[in-house]
Order: sequence, then structure tokens, then C-alpha cells
Amino acid sequence: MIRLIAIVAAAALPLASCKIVEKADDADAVPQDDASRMAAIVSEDWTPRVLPTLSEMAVPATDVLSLARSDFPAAEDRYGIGGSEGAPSNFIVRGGGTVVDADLESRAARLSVDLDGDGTADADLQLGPVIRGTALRDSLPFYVFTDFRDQIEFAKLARALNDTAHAGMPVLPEDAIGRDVSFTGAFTLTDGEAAAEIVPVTLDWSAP
Amino acid sequence: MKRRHLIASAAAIALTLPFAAFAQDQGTIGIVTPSHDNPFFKAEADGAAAKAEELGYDTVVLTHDDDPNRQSEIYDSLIAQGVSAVILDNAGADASVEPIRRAKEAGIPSFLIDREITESGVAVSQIVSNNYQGAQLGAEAFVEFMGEEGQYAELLGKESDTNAGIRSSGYHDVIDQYPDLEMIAQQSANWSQTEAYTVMESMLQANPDIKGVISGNDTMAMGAWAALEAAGRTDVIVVGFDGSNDVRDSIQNGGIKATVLQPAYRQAELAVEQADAYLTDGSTGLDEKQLMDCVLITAENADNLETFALAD
Repeated sequence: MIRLIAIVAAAALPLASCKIVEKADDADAVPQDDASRMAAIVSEDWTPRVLPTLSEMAVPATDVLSLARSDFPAAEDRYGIGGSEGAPSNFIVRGGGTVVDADLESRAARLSVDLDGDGTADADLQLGPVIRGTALRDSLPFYVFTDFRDQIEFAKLARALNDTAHAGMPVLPEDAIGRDVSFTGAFTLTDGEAAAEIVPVTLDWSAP
Repeated sequence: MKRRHLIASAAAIALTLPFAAFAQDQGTIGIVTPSHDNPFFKAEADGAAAKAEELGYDTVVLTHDDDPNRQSEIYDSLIAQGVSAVILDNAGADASVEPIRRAKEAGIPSFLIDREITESGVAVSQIVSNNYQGAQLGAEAFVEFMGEEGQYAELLGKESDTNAGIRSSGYHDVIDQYPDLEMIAQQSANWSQTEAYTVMESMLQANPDIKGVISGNDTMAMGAWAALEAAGRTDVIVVGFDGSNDVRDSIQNGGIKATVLQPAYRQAELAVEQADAYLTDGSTGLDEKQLMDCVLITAENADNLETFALAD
């Protein structure tokens, strides 16, 4: 009896494994690497989750920066997201000001914006396509490292968020300097002296 | 051969464990890393042991030498011994899941450092260096030293190690933005200094115009630099990753140009602090997976680097 079962099981095995392989092939009909899968997640999340969350959580950039410049730990306590011993704090901000400098030729294009009206730049807006850092990923509460397979996936997620932010930027005017601009975005700040390099997700030019 | 190895490691465990039997009130923490031949792993073990002793624990320090079977045996011994917790730099992202789970089911929590495993919910903490962020720092420095142009080679780490892939990915996300930087060779030297020496020798022969080498870790950077020195090619720009004292010395002597410090010593201390919090309060109060930022080391701050920690 036992032998019979064994024979039946042995006979059934190849068939069963055949089926499994076929199913797996079907499921993988569209093979996706890490970057594509993360891009798909961001594409799905961007409008219903990412933009509304950033809009809801944004605080005035001038409030964050003036406190960060005078008392950085206080700014982290009050406005910071995700700061720990090993990782710097992130901030979600909205603001507006006058463009006092611009580099639109570089792959890492940027606008330097005067937010407080003193004529000097207070923050850079990173326009890309090369956008540095992981501020968007690390400031959004629903992207948690533990939920991702490993650092590679998590890094590709950050890249997909940056790429999507870049893709949403409006056409830039040739005469950017002197124009007024308003934005919502996120940035990472390691200390009170570091430059604020904001990754904007919305950017609006006021009429010239 | 295999069997002899098993016996040898079992004997090593049997020898080590009795010392841990004289546990203080707090219990014993097992500290398991790859071989201490690489000073990075020794710094981890030292950092964890010092912090554990400071907090009143006894320690058992063991190495798995990147052999998953050996790691599994070590785990079984630690479970049998009834240690309070394990601090682990693991021997494989997939292969480590099962022993960690066995310990968990036996009521022994694991706190991982340096390398991730492929499952969450098995270890209590996974504290890893932000290799992607660190690689981008290293790549930005490399691009600057290269003057944004020229031929370069990349030395990759061990393929089974997630960190090898993530560092390479971080390097290329930066370097590939510069069309005048041309990668003429890319090869694994498996984190090994001697392999890197050999690989660098053949790369030099095939590509005499090579201007720079970006390496996935410091031991390979040291191997490459030795080969370059032997060939009289100390003009070649080399950038490493880890922040070892060897590379620090080379930077100070005008050899290797830069490396990226992983705060290995502090990371190990932090894992013990989280183990202590978990054993005391039942929770670390933190996410399981945590990233720690890396720091660029060049001639400007190399003087402050000692044993994988940067003094202020």
C-alpha cells in the first residue's frame, strides 16, 4: 500500500511541477526589474497619495528655514520627519519667492530662490533631470524601508519619485531670473548650515 | 574536507561557549560576524562586545567566515546555550533567514548589522549602512578627481552580497551622467585584496590608458593600489568604500584618493543598545529596517578617522 502511494506520488510529481512552471511563466509574461516595479508603484501612487500627502503636510518654507538656521534641533523637533542618529531629518514645505539665480543648462538644473525678500538665495529648487538625494521617499510616511525587499528596491523607489517629480515640472521660461515662483516640495537637511536643496513636486510661475 | 571543517568549527564553538556560561544577571549576547581578517568585521565585533559588556552582558564572539552552514551551526549552538540575543552580520541574504527564524522560535531575538536579509519580521532590527547614499558620495568625489573625463574601471564585490549590487548601482547613477567618463572594464574581485591585485594587473595590461578605478570596498581598493604601485602607475585615481584604517593611511600618504566611511563601530553599538531595549522593554520602539548614512573620507578629514569611526 505504501509502495503504491509512493508510485502514484512519484508519477504525479512531474505533472504537478510541469503545471507550476507553466503558471510561473504566465505570471512572468512581462518580466520587470526593480526599477520598473518601483516606477509602477510610484506611477500608481503619485496622484492619489503622493501629491495630496505632500500638500497636506507642507509647512511654510520660511518658518522651517529660519528656525533651522537659528536652532536646528528645535526645527527637527517641530518640523522634521524621520531623523535619527544615522539619518538626517527631512522637511515638507511650501513657499514662494523670487528667482535670483538659475542654472538651466546642467543635467542637475536648479533655481535659487529668495524666500524672505532680502535679495539673497535661501533655497535651491532641484529641477533635474538629475535630482540628488532621497528627500521625497524619506519624507513620505507610507514608504517604509521594512516593507521593501532590500536597499536596491528602496533606492529605485527614491529614483522613481525623483524622476516623476522632474517629469511634472512645467516648461521653464528663458528669463527665469527675476520671476516669482511658488512651489511645494521636500528636502533633507543634515545640519543648520547645510544648503536647502528642495525637490519640488509642484512649481508655478506667476505672470511676468 | 567538508567534514573536517564542520568538526573544527564545532570544536571552536564548544571551546568558546563554556566561557560564556558564567553569565552575569543580564545574560549573554552572541556576536556573530564574518572573519575578523577584514578589519571592518573586527570593528563590528569589538563595538558590539564593548557596548554589551558596558550594559552588563556577557558576550560570545564567533565568526561564520561567510559560510552559511557554519552560521547555521553557530546559531544552533547559541540556541542550545540559551543566549539572550544575537548580534549578526549575516552570511547570505537568503540562507540566513532560517537560522534566525529558529532562534526567534526559541525566544532568542536577532539584531542584524551591515547586511540585510530578504525577509522582514524574522529579525527584530536590521541596521544597515545607506550603501546607496554612500556610493553616490564616493562617485561624486571620483567624478571630481577624474575631472569629469577619462577611462576608468570598476571592481565589484561578491555577487551574493546585496551591498555589492547597491554600491555599483549608486556609483553608476552618478558616473553615468557624465558622457566623457568611459568604463573600460568591470569585474568582480569578491571583496578580496589578493584577487583585486590580480584583476588590476590584467586590467592595466589590457587598458594602459586607464585613469581611474572605483572599488566596491577598501580591501579591493588596497589590492588595486598595490598593483598600480608595482606597475609604477601611482597616477591612477582610486576610490574605495568602508573607511578602513589602511585606506586612511594610504589617503594620508597621497595614495588612494577617497573612501566612504560606514559607521561600523557605532552601528554595532546601536544594535546592542536596541537588543538591550528589546530585552528590557519588549520593544525597540523603532522600525525593523534602519538606514545609517555614510560619510565621505578624503585628505581633508582622514586624520579624524579611526577604526571605522569619525571623531568630531
